[in-house]
Amino acid sequence: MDNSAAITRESEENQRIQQDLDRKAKSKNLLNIIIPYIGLGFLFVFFIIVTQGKFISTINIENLITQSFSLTIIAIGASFVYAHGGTDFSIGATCGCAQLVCGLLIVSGYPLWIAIAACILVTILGASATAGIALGLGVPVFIGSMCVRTTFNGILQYVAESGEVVIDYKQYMFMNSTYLKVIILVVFLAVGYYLFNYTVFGKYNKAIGGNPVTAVQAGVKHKKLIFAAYVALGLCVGVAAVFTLFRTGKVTGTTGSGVEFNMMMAIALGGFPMRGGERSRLSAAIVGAVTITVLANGLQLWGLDPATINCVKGVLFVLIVALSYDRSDGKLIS
Amino acid sequence: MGKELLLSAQGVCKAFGPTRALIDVDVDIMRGEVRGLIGENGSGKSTFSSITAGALKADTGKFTLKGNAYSPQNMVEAQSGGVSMIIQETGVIPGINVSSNIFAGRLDRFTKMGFLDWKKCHKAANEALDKIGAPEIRGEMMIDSLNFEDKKIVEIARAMSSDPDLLIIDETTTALAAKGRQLIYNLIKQMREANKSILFISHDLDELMSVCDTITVLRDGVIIDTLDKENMSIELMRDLMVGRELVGSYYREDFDGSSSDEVVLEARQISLRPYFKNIDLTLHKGEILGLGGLSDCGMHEIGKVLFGFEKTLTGEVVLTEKGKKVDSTTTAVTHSIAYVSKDRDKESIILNSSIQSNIVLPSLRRFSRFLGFIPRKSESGLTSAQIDQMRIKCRNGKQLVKELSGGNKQKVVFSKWLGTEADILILDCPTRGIDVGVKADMYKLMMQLKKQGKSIIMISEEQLELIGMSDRIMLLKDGSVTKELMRSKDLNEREVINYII
Amino acid sequence: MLKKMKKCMAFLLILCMAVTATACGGNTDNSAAVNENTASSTDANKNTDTDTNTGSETDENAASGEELPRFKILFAYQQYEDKLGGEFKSAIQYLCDAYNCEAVFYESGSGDTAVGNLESVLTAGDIDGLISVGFDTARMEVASKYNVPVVLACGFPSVEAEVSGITSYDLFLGGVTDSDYRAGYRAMESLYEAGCRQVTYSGLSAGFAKSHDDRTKGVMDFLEANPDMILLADSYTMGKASEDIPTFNASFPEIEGMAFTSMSDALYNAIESEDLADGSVKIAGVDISSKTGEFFERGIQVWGCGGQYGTAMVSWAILYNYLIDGTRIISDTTTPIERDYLEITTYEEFEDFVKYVGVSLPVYDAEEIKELIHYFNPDITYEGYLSHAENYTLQDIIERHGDKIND
Repeated sequence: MDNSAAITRESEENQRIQQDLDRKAKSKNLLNIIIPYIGLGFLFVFFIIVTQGKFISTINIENLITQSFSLTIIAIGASFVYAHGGTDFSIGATCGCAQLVCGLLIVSGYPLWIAIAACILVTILGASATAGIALGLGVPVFIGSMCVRTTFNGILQYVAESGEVVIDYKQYMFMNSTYLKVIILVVFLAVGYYLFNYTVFGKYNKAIGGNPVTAVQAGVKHKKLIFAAYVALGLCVGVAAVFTLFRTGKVTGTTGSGVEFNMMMAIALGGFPMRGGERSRLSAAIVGAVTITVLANGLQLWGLDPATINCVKGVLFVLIVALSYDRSDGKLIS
Repeated sequence: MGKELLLSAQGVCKAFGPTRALIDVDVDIMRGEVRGLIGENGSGKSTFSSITAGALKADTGKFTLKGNAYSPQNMVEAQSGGVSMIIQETGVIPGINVSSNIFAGRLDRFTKMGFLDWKKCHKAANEALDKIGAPEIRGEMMIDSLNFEDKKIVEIARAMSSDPDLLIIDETTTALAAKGRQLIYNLIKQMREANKSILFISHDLDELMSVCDTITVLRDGVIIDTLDKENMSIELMRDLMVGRELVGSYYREDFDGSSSDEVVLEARQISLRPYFKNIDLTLHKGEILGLGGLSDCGMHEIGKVLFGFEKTLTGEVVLTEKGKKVDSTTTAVTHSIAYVSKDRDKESIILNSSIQSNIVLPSLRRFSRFLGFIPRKSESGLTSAQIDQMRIKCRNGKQLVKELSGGNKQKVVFSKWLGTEADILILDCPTRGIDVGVKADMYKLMMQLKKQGKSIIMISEEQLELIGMSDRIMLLKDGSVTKELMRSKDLNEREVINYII
Repeated sequence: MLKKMKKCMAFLLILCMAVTATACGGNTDNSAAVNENTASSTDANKNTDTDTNTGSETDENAASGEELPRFKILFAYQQYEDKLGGEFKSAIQYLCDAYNCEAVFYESGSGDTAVGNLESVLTAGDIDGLISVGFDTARMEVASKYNVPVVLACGFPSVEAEVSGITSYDLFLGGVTDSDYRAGYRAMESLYEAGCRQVTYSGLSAGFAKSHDDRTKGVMDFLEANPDMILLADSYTMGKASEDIPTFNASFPEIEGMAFTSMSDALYNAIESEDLADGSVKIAGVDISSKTGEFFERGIQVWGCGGQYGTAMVSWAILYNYLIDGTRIISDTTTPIERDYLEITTYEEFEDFVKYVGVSLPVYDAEEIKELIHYFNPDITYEGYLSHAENYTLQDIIERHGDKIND
């Protein structure tokens, strides 16, 4: 019965193999995290080359900041919702409606701060409704968000039908200042990062994403937290809405459309796990948002004709998502 | 002996990511041999049986069956090659009849020109059921109308319907009552007499000793030894499985079932449709209260209601000291109640999270400082303390829980609740699917907690465990309490079973 | 690990290949387009005995010995896959080629994407002027920041605030639009003249585009002025007009006439499948497509109009005026120059339309456009543009180009 000694775990050979396997597991995880950054880095280098440096000229960096502002802010809020495995199809509609309310208030002569507050209130209201319907009626959040989406879209189109709402662009041009946007971005990133990684808010949302039953059995008030995540998203969408209004100067029937799909693209592109859970990283959502902006900006800067731009966008999206997409838990829509 | 070689496995290796489940495993099974396979959870025995039955593919190594190379692509192929397997969990396909289950994947032998001949199919199914000694189950019955045991019998019929040369029984008997077990023992006798072989995996060492010709011991993916009938003994097997000598008794040593008069938790007339109704329960300080019964008697759901995970329809659950009603898990956890679910992978842990995240989860509220800030040190401190204390086998706190063995996963679950310093622990099947070594540790832990004045409710389907560990046992049947028993030396399994079926 | 590394390499390689391939594809596209234009003009010229336009033009330049300065002109439209987009692209490219300019086309986008796209395109550099279909104050601000003068084509903001915003910029040179109101009015009028008294109208949702809003207004005003014409139903769903046909037909079998704010092949197909092609129902609408002729021939369509790209060419002229010698044709930029659509009412007119308004030779050729440019025609004024607009009819084009285009 002595052969057991020869093949026990403690033998050097086996220890080496075990360490090897451990290392492989670790590096696989690392690669998943790094690929979106590699993709972004590649795009940067590529565009610098083909635009002969114009891509990183001061004016284009400024452009990149203003162009990525909306999506980045939204991505921060979206991280909390996606961390617990939720999603929200209504943010485009609430964004548009919020801009509508804001625009109307400004045109009617109300002070700026009231209009801004109202704008953010509308998006938070929409987000609360989405979460409220889902949690209250026990339906998937997908349905709740579609209800809100249809309602808010209806309102927006009904009002916009009688004519676009146009604000005095020149009077509010100071709201387009790049400095202001950078400051707000930094604040949101800092606060978002803190909440996501160092507080109960972030950790509970990730736990719910990992396994909602376990979270509940650990005493997590999951309904309250899910609701809070949506409010956070609503707040971010509200801020993005405010600055979008002042950037375009008007609200039309199609304002805000497509925002939710950009958000989902950013999440997927950055390697954020679709089902949420512990592996959710705020940075993933941010990288995704920046990548989308860089792509659109760079392609336009490069000067390809429009048909080719759409073609290349499509191909690159597919490639990057194929590699970044975190397949650990599958489902795209829960 | 002159026995012929039926199955030969050589140099089989299998790894799941960084976890090596089988390392250079060699197994030879003769015709007409009943081979037992034992090992702690995580030792690799289920992996080996899965590979042999075609459910998994080995990384390296080869199999020979009846003299030819054997590498089935799936279980249906394996079954037609002569190797069938029955498992512990439910393996039937719901929503269809028994015959379809028996011949799942092989219905084309009854199909002519796209039409299924049901008469022929049912006839064949009934023959298969008769052959294994289950004449009361018929092919025409819907599978959902059968209880757990009968469903398992259908699975056995399925496995036997192809007249296998090797039948693998993977921990099936542990889930069955008397009728089912007897059926399997008869089957084993039949097979042996027909010069067919059995690979028998079980945790029940007594059972193995009485049924098997030889027993192979696996530990950490490696074959340790194969014991002949003469060399078999419970103590030897346990030692080989664990790798160290188990000191002291398995369960408790004392027979004093008394506990303090102070009541800590009370349930008054609680009900939950359709599981149980009007249950009264009191838990005393420092008491281990056992709840026993069959798996559908309602005791698992009682546990959930006591913890506030489910809401009772009538009555209430009250924490006596503060008079606080337990109506949500948040209340329960904040007032130091812990709950270990019987569905470990689905309810007690987050598989895709790290050990650390799992362990700290219920304690986060306690750790949070100003503005909800959680200091990293609190998390890592608790985690390393628990890993050491519970001897969790892992790389570090950052390792994902899904990579751990069943026993270590359960250790993580326990760590989680110990970390909250809970005073009341509701444990539902706490040692299910865990190897002997860890089980013993768990029982010791429970005694330690009792000595510290903590109160425990243990819900278990293992009668021996209940008798061995509880101060007081409440037995349930069909949602009501049938008997309450106090701890005593004379308590035995047969007596208990009377009250639960 | 190795497998993932390989995957990474493959990804980068494919990226490089995809991008270089499309880049090359892009270049050949542009050069092909250029070749097409020069080829078609030379084709047209081959058939004439007299000096060809491009020929004489280069001769003139060679003779005068001066070379025209090279301007980079940007054109913005929502998308170039539709018929109008293709026509815009062709016409603008034609003019730019004739006058030593580089034409750049981009898709404008909507909402804040529109602002972003313009920012990026202008950063790419060296744009001297912008012609845009659709615009707003935000984009004017961007253009102004990059010192780019702007002329609008085929559309003008309808909201007062937007107009005052855009026109407050010095670099805004004004706009040229099509008289959409008249088009809507005429559509209804022609149905009335064809004897229809019970009609339907399919428009586009209000607020979506001023052009469509104006057409709707024209339609409604005519109906108001003629109460014996009854509007049975109207709808304003975006781009789903072809679904109105079966719906209206089912609800109102008494329909005599249908007007559409925009015609397309899909619409014609729908009419076909609804068996309305027997002539019991008359149709009228804006935009002429390949099937229009057939429906005129069968007496179903009574009125159609098109030729918007001519308007874009006039916008080009206004821009070029400013670029070449700083001439500002429009002094009051708040009012756009309105030009009529080219209307057709018979099959013969359709045939003429296809022949003369097709892009083999644009409605204004390189020589004729000089009439609008101060540098070549110092007498041109704002009033001159107005009368030039009035002369924009199918007949006029046939007169000018009759001998330059043969079948």
